[in-house]
Amino acid sequence: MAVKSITMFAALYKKQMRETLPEIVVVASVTVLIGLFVYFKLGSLLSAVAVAMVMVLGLASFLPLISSLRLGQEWNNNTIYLMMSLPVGGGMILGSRLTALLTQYILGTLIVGIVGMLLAFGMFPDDFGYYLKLSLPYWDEAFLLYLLTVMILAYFISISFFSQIIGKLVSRFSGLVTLVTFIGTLWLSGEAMSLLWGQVSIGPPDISTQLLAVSVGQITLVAAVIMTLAVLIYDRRVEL
Amino acid sequence: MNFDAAQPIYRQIIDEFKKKIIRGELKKGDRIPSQREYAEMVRVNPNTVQRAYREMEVMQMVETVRGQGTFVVVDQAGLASIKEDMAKSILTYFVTEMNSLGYSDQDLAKALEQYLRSKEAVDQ
Amino acid sequence: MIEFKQVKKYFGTVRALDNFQAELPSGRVIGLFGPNGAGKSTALKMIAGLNRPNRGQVLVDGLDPRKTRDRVAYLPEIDHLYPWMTVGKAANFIGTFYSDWDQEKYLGLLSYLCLDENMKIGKISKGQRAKVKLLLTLSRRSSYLLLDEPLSGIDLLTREEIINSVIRDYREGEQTIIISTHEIGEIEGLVDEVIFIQEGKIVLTGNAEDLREERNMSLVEIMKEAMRSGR
Repeated sequence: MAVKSITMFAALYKKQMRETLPEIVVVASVTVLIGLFVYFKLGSLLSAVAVAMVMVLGLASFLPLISSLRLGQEWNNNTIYLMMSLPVGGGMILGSRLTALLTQYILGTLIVGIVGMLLAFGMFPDDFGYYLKLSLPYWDEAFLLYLLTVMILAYFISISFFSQIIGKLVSRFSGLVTLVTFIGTLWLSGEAMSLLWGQVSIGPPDISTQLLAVSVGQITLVAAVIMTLAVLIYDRRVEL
Repeated sequence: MNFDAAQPIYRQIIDEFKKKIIRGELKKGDRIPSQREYAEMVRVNPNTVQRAYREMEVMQMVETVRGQGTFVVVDQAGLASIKEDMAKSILTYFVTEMNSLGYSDQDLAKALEQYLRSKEAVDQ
Repeated sequence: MIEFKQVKKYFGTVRALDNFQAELPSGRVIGLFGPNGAGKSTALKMIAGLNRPNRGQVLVDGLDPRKTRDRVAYLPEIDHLYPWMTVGKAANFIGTFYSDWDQEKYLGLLSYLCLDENMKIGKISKGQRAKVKLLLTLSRRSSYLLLDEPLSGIDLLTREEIINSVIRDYREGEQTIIISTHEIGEIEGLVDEVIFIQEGKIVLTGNAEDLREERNMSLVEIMKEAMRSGR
């Protein structure tokens, strides 16, 4: 009786989440500390609060990309021997890593969002409800915008995986090859996306929603292509 | 038990059992360790132990009863013949080695006698 | 059965395996012997599906090794476990992937090897780490067991424990064990088939007992002689 794929995926995902835990803790603690500082020291300065929140949001978005470099670390720590001897293919290995990194992003941004909301509520307890009500019609777009940021991250992570794997195909200058591949893939996929943009036409009335939806679709497509390439190369070319 | 790595190990296992039987440490009807137990005891590949046990069965030294174990089946007559066999093979070895050193059969008989006398003297 | 069919493997300009041709019979304990750099690790990795021949073919039960990973348990020479995991966590993680994982066997070996589930892999001694690697490899009832230099750099007492565990674990007829080492003396009594390799080529192969019988020499001596004439 074979082990179910979902069970294996869950085990890999759990392992990745455990490895990425420090980064989640960093985002959470920095956000809370900055939130407290802003609330007690700069309570009246709305712009300062906004800047602080954008900064932690940047941290929450950027850290998963740094964490994605752990893939290459598997080679340095020899744990790749364990990964590659498991009866799973590259799809599982890279898929579970991607899922964990996206979870890291979602958790991080969720923490920032909650702290931001609390701050807003703490600073303007009277107007909070009013502004919340005012924002209601835009939640569709906000959701699409958020989804877009998730997919943009997935796109960058795919390029990161792809270039790290290419880097591991050579025995020397692995880092340099990774960097060149990263930049090259970024450029090529950028070209591909502008080509894709030429194929779509958008019209009124809900232009912004359409724009977002098309962007999400397009970046998902490009990310999926790069990820598939990464999986194929992992399965067919990587050797120890 | 230490094996001589230059000799087949299954043979040495058989010899070990033969010696035990000759010395009376194992008697007819005694149970000997299972192949697995023995392999773990002497830290030898179980296939080698299996080969030794199989040969001992063919030689009618032991018999394996399904589910109960392996037992010594050598009686008095068999014991004598095992003893004789072993002595013969040791003698053969001794004589060939001595011959290869240039001792003629008479010389080596004399040498052996002399050796035994001196050994007796030392023992006393 | 494991088959190597005219396998060639290069790493850059280095020839790791050169027209390597072998059939490894099932149900035996096979010693893969040779000096450092002879191609032993490369051959084992190929069976485990971690690298591929440049020419020729390797088949495990007639299949591509990448498809047979679930019936092969591989113990690499290097430390391949996550240092942040405890023994228990690592067992749990690895155990998830194999239907032949045997929890009872695992617990038995754990106490036999004097290991503790709460030991953190990054914080234990080299000998203990070697035992943990062995524990996690032997806790499966895999058809093929590949041990790459399981004794190198390990103290004497631990070596004995490792050899004993392998003997205890071995299931006659069902399991094929392949052990690579350059320290043959340690496992003279453990193997029943031997393959001596040098510079990626097989210089001698046969049944250990038959070889001893024919030549009145130990495997160590036989290997020395084979290496000399192989040159």
